[in-house]
Amino acid sequence: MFNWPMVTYVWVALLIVAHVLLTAWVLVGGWFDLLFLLRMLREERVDSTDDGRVDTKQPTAASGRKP
Amino acid sequence: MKPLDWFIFVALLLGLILLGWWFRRYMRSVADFIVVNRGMRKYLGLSTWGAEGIGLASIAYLTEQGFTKGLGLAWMTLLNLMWYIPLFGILGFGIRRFRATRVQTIPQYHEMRFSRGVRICNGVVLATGGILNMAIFPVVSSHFLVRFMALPETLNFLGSTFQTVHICMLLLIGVSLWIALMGGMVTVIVTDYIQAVILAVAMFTIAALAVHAVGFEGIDRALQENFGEAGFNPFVTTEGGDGYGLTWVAFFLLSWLLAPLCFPPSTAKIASTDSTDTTRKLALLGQFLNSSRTILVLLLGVCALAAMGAAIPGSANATHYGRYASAQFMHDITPTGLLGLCAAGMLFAYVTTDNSYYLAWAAIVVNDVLVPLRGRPLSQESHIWLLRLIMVGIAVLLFCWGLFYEPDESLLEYIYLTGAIMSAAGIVTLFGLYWKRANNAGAYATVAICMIVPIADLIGKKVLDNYPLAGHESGLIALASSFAAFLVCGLASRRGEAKWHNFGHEVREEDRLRRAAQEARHV
Repeated sequence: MFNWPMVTYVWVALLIVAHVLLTAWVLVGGWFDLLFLLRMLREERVDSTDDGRVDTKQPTAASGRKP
Repeated sequence: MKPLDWFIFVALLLGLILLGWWFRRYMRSVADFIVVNRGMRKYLGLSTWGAEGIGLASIAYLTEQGFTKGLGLAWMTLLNLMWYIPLFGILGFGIRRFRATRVQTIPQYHEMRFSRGVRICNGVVLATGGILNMAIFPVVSSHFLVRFMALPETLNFLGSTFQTVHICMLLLIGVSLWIALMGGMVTVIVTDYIQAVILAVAMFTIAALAVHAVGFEGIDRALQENFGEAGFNPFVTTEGGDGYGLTWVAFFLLSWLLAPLCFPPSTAKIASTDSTDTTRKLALLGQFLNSSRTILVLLLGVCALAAMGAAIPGSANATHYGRYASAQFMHDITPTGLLGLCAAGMLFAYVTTDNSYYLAWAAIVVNDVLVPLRGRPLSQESHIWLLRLIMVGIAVLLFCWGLFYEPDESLLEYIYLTGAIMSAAGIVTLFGLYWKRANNAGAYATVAICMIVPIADLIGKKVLDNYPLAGHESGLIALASSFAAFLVCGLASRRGEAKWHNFGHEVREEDRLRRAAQEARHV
């Protein structure tokens, strides 16, 4: 017989501990990414065609920086 | 709240408003406003995606589920992780190709793959579904915050009496709108990061206080006595209606299969990443973060049940008691000083979600409905001002909606049912990205089914006493039948092949370049 309560409690506890650790890791890394983003936005060149339009002559391409 | 709590709350709120104003200067184009010029890297993406994933309305509906149904939803979340992480987090199914298209919104891809008509049609459906979906957020969140801060029901100002819930709605809508208006995605992402820090501290503090207040034995007793096995096992339901059952589980899992490609606030974050590989990592770690936090918030609802009991006090409204008892419980266990910080955390939970939503729906209304109907592009300045105008319109609509409407069904049921309307875009995108024969007829059929069935459910329940379907059953029917309709239309005609483009090539090319760059660094 599957012990639903016991397995649920174990999962819940493990996930909450992992959540706390992962959140701390992500927030520290996020600070450096934030500084990078602000630097990039300061130095970017504006592409006025990157506004959601679709080129009807070449419909498989949207405007914007390539991934 | 005590004066110290008010001081902390107001200081953090003012700080947020000033940050929004300060960072607006980094926004210089439409691409900045909608997708932060595609410069978001992994950890920042995770912070902002995580913050957006847990709004105050989500806290309300998850604690409601914990309070009224136990931990069954935790298992559904775990089951979802088991296929979400391999499919999206490891393989990057759908989301990497979607990022490779370089579109700003989902319907923009629909014009590339299908036609301008499909783009406009899906734009209308996404905006309708999305605004309906978030329509209850202000009113539900205000009720929750008023109880958490233990504010009086009415306030007297200049000789007039106002409902505190309405004033709170104005505050919540106003702050989140301010952040979105200032610099679009730029201010949203920057302030989301800062709010995510406060929100994380608030959530962990309240969770620790809640578990300490009732103890593990109290949690176990509350679950066993109130729900039995249905408090843990999502597949069973009791005669009293507790638990979820197989249809709910199927609807939940199917909705999440489509969510990464149909939910505009999430796809806006996908479109904002700096590469398709970052998109995959965002799905991998972001979904893990969101799922584990879902379980943390569910647990708060269970703790509230253990402390306050399921019996409804004489004067209380039954729906409101189950929905907001957790807010009252959280207020009772949080000491002075921390209460102000946690109240700010709750407000930030609302703001981080809603500012992304305003931006996402406004981008769809402008980019995918108004500009295509106009037939020629707008200037950068006009485009940004039109986006701002639409955001204000959505905010006014939400406030008015909140004055007159509150859902009868559970919040979870309402949110997933209105989410099913948006799922049409997910089905169309998924087939469009992977199936040569995906065509316009299939796209229109999918949109029609996903629009009609959920809205019939919402209206039917208001008009008829005994509407034959539960919300999750209507949702499952809408998704399953639109999948079938798309397949039938695709098999019946080869017309879709003409505009087929395999974006898998772009994804593989990006991987090749990344590997080459890594090898060059090693050398």
